[in-house]
Amino acid sequence: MPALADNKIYLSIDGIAVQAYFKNVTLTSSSATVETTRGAGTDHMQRAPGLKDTSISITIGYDTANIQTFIQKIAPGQQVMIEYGPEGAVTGKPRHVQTFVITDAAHTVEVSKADVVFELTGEAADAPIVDMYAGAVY
Amino acid sequence: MSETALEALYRAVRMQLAAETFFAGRVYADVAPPKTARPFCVFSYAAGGERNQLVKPDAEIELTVRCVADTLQDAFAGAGAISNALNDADLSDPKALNGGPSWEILHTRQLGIVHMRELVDGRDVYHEGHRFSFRMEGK
Repeated sequence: MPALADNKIYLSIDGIAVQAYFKNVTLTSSSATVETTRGAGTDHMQRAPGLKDTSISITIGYDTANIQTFIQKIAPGQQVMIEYGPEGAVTGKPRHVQTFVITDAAHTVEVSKADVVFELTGEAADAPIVDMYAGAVY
Repeated sequence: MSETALEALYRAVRMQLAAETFFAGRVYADVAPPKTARPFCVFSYAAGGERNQLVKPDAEIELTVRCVADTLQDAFAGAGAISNALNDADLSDPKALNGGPSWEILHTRQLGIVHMRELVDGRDVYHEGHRFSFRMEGK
C-alpha cells in the first residue's frame, strides 16, 4: 500500500475545524519508565513502562477572514478538546481525540512579510478519549 | 478556480501600471509591439509558482518590470513610476492589486534593480526597473 504523503488532515479545537489554516501538527505520545533492576549480579538496567503522556504542537496560519472563529480557542491556560485525523475524518482512518491544556500560543509578525502564524503547544489534561495509537478510527 | 495564478497576476499588474500616467497606457506583457513609442513599460515572468505552504492553492511569483526609454532620465522616472505603482501594494493597502475572481494578491515586495543600456540602430536605449515578488492565495 502507498505511503501517506499529503495534507488532507482533519483538525478541530473545541469543535472548531481549523484544518484549512494548518501548517503543521505534531502529536507526541510518550511513556515514562520505571527502573526495576533487581537480583544479585544483575549487570544491565531493567525497566518497566511508567506513566504515559501526550503533547501536541500545532502551527496555524492567521486567516484574516476567519481569525475570530478560533482565536479564543487557542488562548493559553484553557483546556480544549482537540480532534485529529491524519488522513481526514474518513471512515476507517485513524482518529485521535484528547483534551489538552494550551500552554503556549506564540505569534510573530515580520517586516519581511513572512507568513503570520500561531504556534501552539499543549499538554494532555487526561488520557485520550479516542486513541489513535490504540488503533482508533473514524 | 477559473484561471492560473500567472494569468491573474499579469492582468492585475497590467491594470495597476496602466493607471500610471507616465506610461500613457503603453504597458505590455513580455514584448512591446513593433515601433512602440518610448517610454513604455514591459513586464515578464522571472521565477516562482506554487508555494505549497497552504492547503488551498498559493503562489509566489517574481516578475521583472522595466521602463524602456530613450534617455536615462526618462528611464529612471519610469522606474520610479513602476515602484510607486507596485511596491508594497499589499492587500491591506489602498493600492492593493486586484487578483480577480480566483486569487487574492496578499503582498508585493520590491527586490533587485534592473539596469541596462543598449544600442539600437546606433542609438541609446535605456532599461530601468525592478524585480518584484507577489504572494498570492486562491479564493
